[in-house]
Amino acid sequence: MDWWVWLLIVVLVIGIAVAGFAWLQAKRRSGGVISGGPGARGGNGPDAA
Amino acid sequence: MSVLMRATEVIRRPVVTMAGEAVAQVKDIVYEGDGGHVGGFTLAGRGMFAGPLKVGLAWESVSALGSDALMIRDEEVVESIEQVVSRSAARRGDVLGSRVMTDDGTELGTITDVILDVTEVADVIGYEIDSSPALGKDGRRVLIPLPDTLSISGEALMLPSAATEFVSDDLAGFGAAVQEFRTRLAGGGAT
Amino acid sequence: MRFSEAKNHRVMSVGDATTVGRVRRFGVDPATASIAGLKLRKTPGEGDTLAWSDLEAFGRDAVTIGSADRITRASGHLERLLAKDHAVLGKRVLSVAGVDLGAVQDVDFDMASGAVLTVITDRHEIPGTSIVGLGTYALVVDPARP
Repeated sequence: MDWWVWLLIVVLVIGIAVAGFAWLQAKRRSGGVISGGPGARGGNGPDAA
Repeated sequence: MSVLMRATEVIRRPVVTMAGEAVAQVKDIVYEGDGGHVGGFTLAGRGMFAGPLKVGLAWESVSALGSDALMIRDEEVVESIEQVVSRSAARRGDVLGSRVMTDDGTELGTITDVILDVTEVADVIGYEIDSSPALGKDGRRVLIPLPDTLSISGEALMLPSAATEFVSDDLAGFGAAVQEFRTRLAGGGAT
Repeated sequence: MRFSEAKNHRVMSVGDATTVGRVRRFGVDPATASIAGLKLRKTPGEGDTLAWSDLEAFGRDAVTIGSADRITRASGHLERLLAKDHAVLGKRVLSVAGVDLGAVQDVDFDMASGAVLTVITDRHEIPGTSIVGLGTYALVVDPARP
């Protein structure tokens, strides 16, 4: 195959890997509402704004 | 002045110092033992390739929780994650996606959001749920009020059955519905 | 005087009445809520920075300095304030309560002292005295500050 076809394949593979990593990280960044557990701190007042 | 906020909107909100630097974004909202209010937050990095950070913020360290940013004095108030959430607790799972039942055994639906009333504390006042047929709302999303304190496990959450009488379709007026529900639980209110 | 009006001002050397540059960007110090310095373009040498204290005057139509050797290469604190990511124009404004007040469209400043008088966004006009901090993400202001 021509060299540019290989180049295209490499670019595509890298692109897919990068997109996949970004997607994975987005999932890892997303959170929820969870318990603090025993001895978790209570909330009582942010400092005055 | 109290402001009602959705937990899903607080998640991913930028954490900004008074010096104007965005140091992180909110990952988890951590409620304290009795489920009544927010004890702190865990943080994640910002940007497409950032992951979770091993740090958190206690509620006392928050200068302000606003509609567009969570303000902190400076980076010094950020703590290690163990100080905000214990390892065993993190394994107990997410309230979002949990099922809700009444104490007389009726399934109400699954939780899609948690409603916070933010003043000096962030009080957990209600859930948004994908409603089950028992509520007669055609499976729509509705808001259901919570008592002051409640028992929470990772699996299913139990509410007093009276909660079904105070279901709202949207946030407008939900604050009032919560007040009336809590008054009813305390033994007052109209019959 | 507004940043928008002063943005392309000629910088003139009083000594030999020549133009030694043009104003490119303003560096605001949030601690004093005033202009700390100017970033220039089209300067004769390698320097592109003018500290406010090195100006003779900031006028209606031009900025005057004693001589071209007032123009330096930025370093330290001034370098950071003059960096592109600290530019005030276009910066998101956040209140200390965590509410977005709009993006900075213009800044009104005192020509004599360099003090920031008003920060103008698409939605608000905020007195310079309200400025709490300036970073790469936002200009933080406290509207309740007297």
